[in-house]
Amino acid sequence: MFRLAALTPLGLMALYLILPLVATLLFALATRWTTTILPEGFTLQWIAETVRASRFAETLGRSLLLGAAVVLLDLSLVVPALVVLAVRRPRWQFLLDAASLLPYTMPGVVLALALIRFYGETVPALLGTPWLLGAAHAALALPIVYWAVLNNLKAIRLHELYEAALTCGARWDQILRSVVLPNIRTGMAIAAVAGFTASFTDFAVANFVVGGSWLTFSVWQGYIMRMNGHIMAVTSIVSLLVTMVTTLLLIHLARETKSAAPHARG
Amino acid sequence: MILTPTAMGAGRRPWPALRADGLAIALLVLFVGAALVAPAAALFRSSLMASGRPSLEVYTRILMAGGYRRAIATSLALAATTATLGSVLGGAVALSLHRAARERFRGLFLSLAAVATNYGGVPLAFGFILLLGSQGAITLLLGSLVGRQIPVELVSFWGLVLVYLYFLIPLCVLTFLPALVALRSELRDAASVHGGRAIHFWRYVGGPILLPPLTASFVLLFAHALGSFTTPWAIVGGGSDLTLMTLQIGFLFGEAGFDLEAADALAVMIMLLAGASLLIYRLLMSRVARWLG
Repeated sequence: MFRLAALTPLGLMALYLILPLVATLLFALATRWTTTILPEGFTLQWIAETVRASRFAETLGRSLLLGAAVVLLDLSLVVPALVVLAVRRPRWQFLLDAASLLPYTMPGVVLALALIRFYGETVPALLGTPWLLGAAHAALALPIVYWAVLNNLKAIRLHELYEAALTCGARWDQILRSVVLPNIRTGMAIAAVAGFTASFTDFAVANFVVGGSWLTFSVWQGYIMRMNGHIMAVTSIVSLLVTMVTTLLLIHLARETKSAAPHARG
Repeated sequence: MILTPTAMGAGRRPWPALRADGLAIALLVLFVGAALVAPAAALFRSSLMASGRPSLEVYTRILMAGGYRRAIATSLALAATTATLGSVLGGAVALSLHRAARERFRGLFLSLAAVATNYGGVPLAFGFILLLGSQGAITLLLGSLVGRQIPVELVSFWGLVLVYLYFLIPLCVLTFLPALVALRSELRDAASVHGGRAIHFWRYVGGPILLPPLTASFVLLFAHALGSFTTPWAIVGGGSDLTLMTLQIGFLFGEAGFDLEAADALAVMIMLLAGASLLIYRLLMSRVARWLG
């Protein structure tokens, strides 16, 4: 009796979470679905049309590339700095921690406004370029990458590993290659997947920073929504697939962190 | 004297010279400064200027003027409503998951919740329009059940509440569930051994343990809702008098291109509110960590 009472709200909640997704999938496959409760018939026509649309491959490719670039930029900024900090253990690390939280106080539209207002006056040539968008997305994903790597570094007690390696007479490049990097692989992978998702799903920043001059996948979706609902539905399914893959990857990686003890290779 | 490894290693210089260390940190600091601190500071500065002089004029103006004032009031009401509903419903869902669900079902449900929090923006708004728009499946279904047209209005305050909850409830579940570990079954047993009934347990034990993490989730949801732009943009579009701070900012500098100082001031208000939320969240979570540790 108690189980049923508890499972009913869970079932209703699951229904609420699934229904918009099912409706989107049905609309992507529907011949016509305007005045009826369920679609009148099914077709693969919209999928074919979406894939053929010139903007589809172009914007999808751009967004994937942008996400990868953003992750690379963030990791190459964050990993060296955090490793140095972990080894040297300075007392002012909390300042950098606080700075890395800044993006949480700046939602997409605020970040976009801040960047455009500031660089519009100082370096106007940057406006509307993918470079500014890359930097904006790197800023957006910074806390995610920073905390994923930092948590991993804390979990492996890098400082102790570093001193142990030092006692064994290892050089710094050996320490970096055989001690540090293998041990923070999972943290870096989590950072990469979550950072990529932040960039890929962003609409607000990309819409204002580059807009139509360098269409990303989600900004294109914003346009297509008002033009062709069926194609919009197909692109939504693509977003859903990307979200599902990245989310399941993250869950898998989080499990790996729990079971993995620090180890050194080589 | 005891030689620590550091002291022994110090002479051998196994780490590159200080210069490389400094470089690694400087690059990160430089990026944070250029991409976040300087632009944010510029917003503060320009929102506090009026015709070249420091002044609070912009703020008094947007707090007085009808459109901006309405946007601020609606944004705050929407964030407060969705955060309240989101944390209450999310808390209930997390509690049910914690107590009743089998391991396998819980994992499945949490995966769905994680996908739902990440699946937002334009695609989500579109999914809701398909269900609850004027020709939406549920709108038509309800209409045929009742036998007349049902006026479901997705472009409304409560319409936005319904859509926001889609990503806020799962967000609450995911942040609140780990805190439920502190609600060990021994506590309940101890309470009942001492003659406490369910109401006593919740009043003196369960409630005080769960209130800080639930408040933390509330604050997180509030900041998240306040900063949301894409979802309301896609749902509301143009041509409605429903307006929010984020929509106003987007309109002012994305389309209109005038009164940018007002956009700056609205943005600064969002930053301050989000910053305060973040601060409260971290304070509460450090208290929660003590309970879990």
